[in-house]
Amino acid sequence: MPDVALLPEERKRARLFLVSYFPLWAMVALRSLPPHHVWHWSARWLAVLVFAALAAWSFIDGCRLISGAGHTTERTLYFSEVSNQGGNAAGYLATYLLPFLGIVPADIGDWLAYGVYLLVALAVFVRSDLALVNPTLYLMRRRVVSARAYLGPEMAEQQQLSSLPVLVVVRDPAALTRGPVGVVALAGSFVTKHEPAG
Amino acid sequence: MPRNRQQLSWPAVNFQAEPRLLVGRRAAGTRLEGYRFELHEDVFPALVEICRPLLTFLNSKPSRGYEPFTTVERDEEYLALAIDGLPKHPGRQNARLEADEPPTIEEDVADLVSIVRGVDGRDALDRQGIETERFTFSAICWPHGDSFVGFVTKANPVITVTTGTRYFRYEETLRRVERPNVVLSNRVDLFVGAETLAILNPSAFRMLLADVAIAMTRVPRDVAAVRRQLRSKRLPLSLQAAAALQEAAAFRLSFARRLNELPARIQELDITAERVRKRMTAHDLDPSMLLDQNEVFSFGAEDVEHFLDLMEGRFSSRTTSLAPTAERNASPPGGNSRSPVP
Repeated sequence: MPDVALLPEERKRARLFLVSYFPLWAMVALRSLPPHHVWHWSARWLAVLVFAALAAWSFIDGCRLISGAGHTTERTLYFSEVSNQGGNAAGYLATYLLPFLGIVPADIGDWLAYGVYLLVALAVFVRSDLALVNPTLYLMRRRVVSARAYLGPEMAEQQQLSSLPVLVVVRDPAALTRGPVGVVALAGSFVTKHEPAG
Repeated sequence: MPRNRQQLSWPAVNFQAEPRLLVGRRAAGTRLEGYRFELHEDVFPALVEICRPLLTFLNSKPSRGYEPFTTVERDEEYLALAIDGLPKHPGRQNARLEADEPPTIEEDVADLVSIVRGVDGRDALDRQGIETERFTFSAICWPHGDSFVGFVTKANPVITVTTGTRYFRYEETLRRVERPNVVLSNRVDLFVGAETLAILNPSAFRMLLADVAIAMTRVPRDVAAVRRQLRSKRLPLSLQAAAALQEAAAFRLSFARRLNELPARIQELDITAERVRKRMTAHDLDPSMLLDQNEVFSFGAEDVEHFLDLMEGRFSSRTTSLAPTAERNASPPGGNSRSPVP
């Protein structure tokens, strides 16, 4: 039997995947509401409950992932070449979430097709940087930027954390270049814990 | 009382800041590699409890300047060495270009200092790594300016199960507890300060700074001192033999240690070419392997051990010993119970 266990980083990415679909869960829950909003036990109301629960769960989990980072050891890093990734999040909304609203699943075959799509998307998500192209993080007043990270203020070549830019979830992108930033690792990227004041 | 004792004033460490827990082990050759443990904030106070007493100790006890192979009276004193005085690391820059070397604050400092100062550039270990890997040392690192200082302990912080540690005394009963992932000792062996190292365990220091051959730094000076002493005894050491001594001591810690004590020993020796030849012949050794016809010590790296043995008196008997005259005269008549070996 193949080993399908996820590594800790991949588990966090899988959670971020579900978090990123919070807007979709909420929208599908609203779309599933019966026309007259009168409660009686039916498949539509079951869908409302399931998707509302998914929406609540994914939003709360997103908050826990971000706030939980605040209780672990930070790393002090210096950043340069900060580049906003907001466009990617908007593109993600348009390409991955909105198409779901256009078609209402009519039968079991439609639901299975959506299930397959979500599994494929999950597999891509946990093995890529898509995890932080996440519209839900923006709802939490965070932004996602890419930047070069260094260990020291000199930002010398040997101090660079990796040869490629890293993704950072930040409240104020301008703060990243003001001085040392306390960050915590999250799914191969960083969440700021202490941002230098302006 | 040992010489050069002085009271140093150590800069305060901000224990309100967030500590980092580092573990490391020997990598290829003498190099060290280090990893971080991700910590929850509820362990921070326990780490303060380990580190604060050591800083109090350093500020209250006298220090001595570092000398290779010296010992310290634990809990009474420590050795101090300026980090700038450490030998420079030769090859990290090249290694970083060739392999995936972690980022560092400085290129040429010893691995241990580099790892402590650059702790935030180290990879974090996941649970499996914590449970399965074995480590040589751990360090609790605290931010200090733009860098870090570290309280280093040469011990594996991840314990394996032993009978003694699986049970705790609790309300007068023995109770089984789950094996902890990490157990930290409150014994600190080294303190990597901002500018100075405090050495509480010299052997741990030598091991952890083997990448810059810290124990061998005195070898050239010791060889020069041996040459001076032998010249004063009219038995000079050839350049070839001096090079052999230096080469051998650079690779064997025991040779470096013995060489370090040799100048003082030779100064006391009643040594002549005739005694050297007699002693070696008595032990079925060809004197020419060490001493040439011109009464010059001349030998290669393969005979360094014989030379050291000879100078330390390991070939001696009472009558033809190279040991100091006073030592020989003090031997009981007819007795050979007193060894001239220091």
